Amino acid sequence: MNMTDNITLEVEDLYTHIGVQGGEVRGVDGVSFVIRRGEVFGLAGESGSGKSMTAFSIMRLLPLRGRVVQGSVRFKGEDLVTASAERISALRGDRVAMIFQDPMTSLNPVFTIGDQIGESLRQHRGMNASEARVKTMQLLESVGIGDADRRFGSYPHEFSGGMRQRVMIAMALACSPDLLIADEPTTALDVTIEKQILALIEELRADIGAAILLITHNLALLAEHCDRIAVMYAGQIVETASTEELLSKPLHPYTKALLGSMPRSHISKGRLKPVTGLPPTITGERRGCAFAPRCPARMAHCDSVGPLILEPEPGHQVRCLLFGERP
Amino acid sequence: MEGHNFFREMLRSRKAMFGVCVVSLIVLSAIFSPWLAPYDPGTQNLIGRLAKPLATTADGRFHLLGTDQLGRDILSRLIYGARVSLLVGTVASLIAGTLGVTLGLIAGYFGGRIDAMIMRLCDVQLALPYILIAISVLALLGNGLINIIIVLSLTQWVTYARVVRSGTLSVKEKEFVLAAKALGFGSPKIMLRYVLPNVFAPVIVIATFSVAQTIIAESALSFLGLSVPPSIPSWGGMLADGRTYLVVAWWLATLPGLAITFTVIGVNLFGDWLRDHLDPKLQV
Repeated sequence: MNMTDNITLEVEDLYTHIGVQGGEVRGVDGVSFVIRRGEVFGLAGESGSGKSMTAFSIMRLLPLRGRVVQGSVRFKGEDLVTASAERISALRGDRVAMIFQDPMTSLNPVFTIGDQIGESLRQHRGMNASEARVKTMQLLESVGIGDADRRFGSYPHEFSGGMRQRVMIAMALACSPDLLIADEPTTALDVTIEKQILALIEELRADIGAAILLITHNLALLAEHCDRIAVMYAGQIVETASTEELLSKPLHPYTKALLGSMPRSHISKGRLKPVTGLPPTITGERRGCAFAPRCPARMAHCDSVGPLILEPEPGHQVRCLLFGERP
Repeated sequence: MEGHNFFREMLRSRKAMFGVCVVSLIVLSAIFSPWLAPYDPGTQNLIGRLAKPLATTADGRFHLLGTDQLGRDILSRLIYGARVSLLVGTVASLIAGTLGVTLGLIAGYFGGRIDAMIMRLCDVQLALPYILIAISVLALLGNGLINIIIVLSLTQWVTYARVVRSGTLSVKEKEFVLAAKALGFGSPKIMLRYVLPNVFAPVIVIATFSVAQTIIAESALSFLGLSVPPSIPSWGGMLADGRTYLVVAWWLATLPGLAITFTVIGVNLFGDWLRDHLDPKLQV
């Protein structure tokens, strides 16, 4: 098998705009990345940097006023942007699954856990109630919910946040998807549960060989679990590299600033450096580099010349004028 | 909600119990009228006309609640009359509920032009007095039980539609609806399994009030002679007939009036309690 056969998801030059009062926000502004089979790809960035919008664009779950204006999302060679609504519905929950940020509100409060996990199996696999029940029991066991027989008939409100996220994972994995998108899966959970949930996701990756897109603002978390990381800023990916490379040799000033603001145990002295200022919301034409106003390494032409993606080293891409103006 | 707690709490509430008792009494008399009624409600007896309550007529019959201007037994007519009131009340509320919930769900879920159309339809419905609609429809179609039910359903569906629509608007933004979409479920499934059950509590409450309102509305139509044919005893009809004898025989109009009042109070008390019970914000 060569490299291209292994590509599960290929997002190319994706632009997603969201209508707001008096204009359109460039939510996703020319994002490209590739995720291979069995790979965990991390997407990092501040709130509003377009991480979730990228995920929703892939799933075609954009809000009412959002639309993909340009670009393609190829899932195993098939373009999801132009696929029919029926095709998308058939893929969702079956081949492509998603886990959401807040497990407290992601489950339907009026049906039992077992019922909700089984729903997806009945929908996509055409299982009858008893087949779905057997498979649901296995799923509950596999996500670490013991006593599955009793838990099957429990309602979401009887579960803690961590347990509910396990249920969400069981639902997402019911049909062994090829791609799992986890949008801030542990943000609403406390740290010990976070560890367990991520360990679970990694374990399941090994089992079913799915590609995973892990989205979070927590760089430390990504560092621990991802094979490659992309850093987003104002709707664009500013740097993509393998995890070791990104952590040891960050190129983009924003990545450096983010790493500088991260508490690390082996650097014990000194204060943490915050990234000063706020990320912009890009509505009209983009002029220059979006990070320029906050950039410590800012140059004279950063305000006027938009940086393009460069690859100073193989597999390490960066969008910054420090590394030249054209590829 | 646990079914067990539900009944225990109901037994504890005096209001709810009163409501339930009254309603059960009426339901039972409607179901078992042929066995409960001491006389046939249509049999006339001109010798014993306008007998007072607790009176025995010249030909030796005892009438607990007296007789009317044609010598028909009032108690029997009240028991049989419960059938019309209850049938019209529940069936019309059920039809109105189904129609209103469906339209409200569609309007709220899809939004946009469909929503605007359904809501304008509601406005039109609300702008027309129901008596006007009733009179014109019944004049056009004639007055039968089915027509009465249709007319009364038409006047009730708007309440359901508006409440369900506003509930749907908020529930469809919940994350579990997004999660359902991410699992590849289609709109009908999401509407029926994810949205509807989560907006249903107020519908149950509206339904109880709507039954009470429909019973009153049916009585009003009977009073105007627009409801069921005079051969079928109904509370509104009895009230209307008794009106002319009010000075000489007070019981003719008073007793069916009391029957209507108690039924409506009973249903309302039960509805009140149901509303308090189902709305966690009102629970102390």
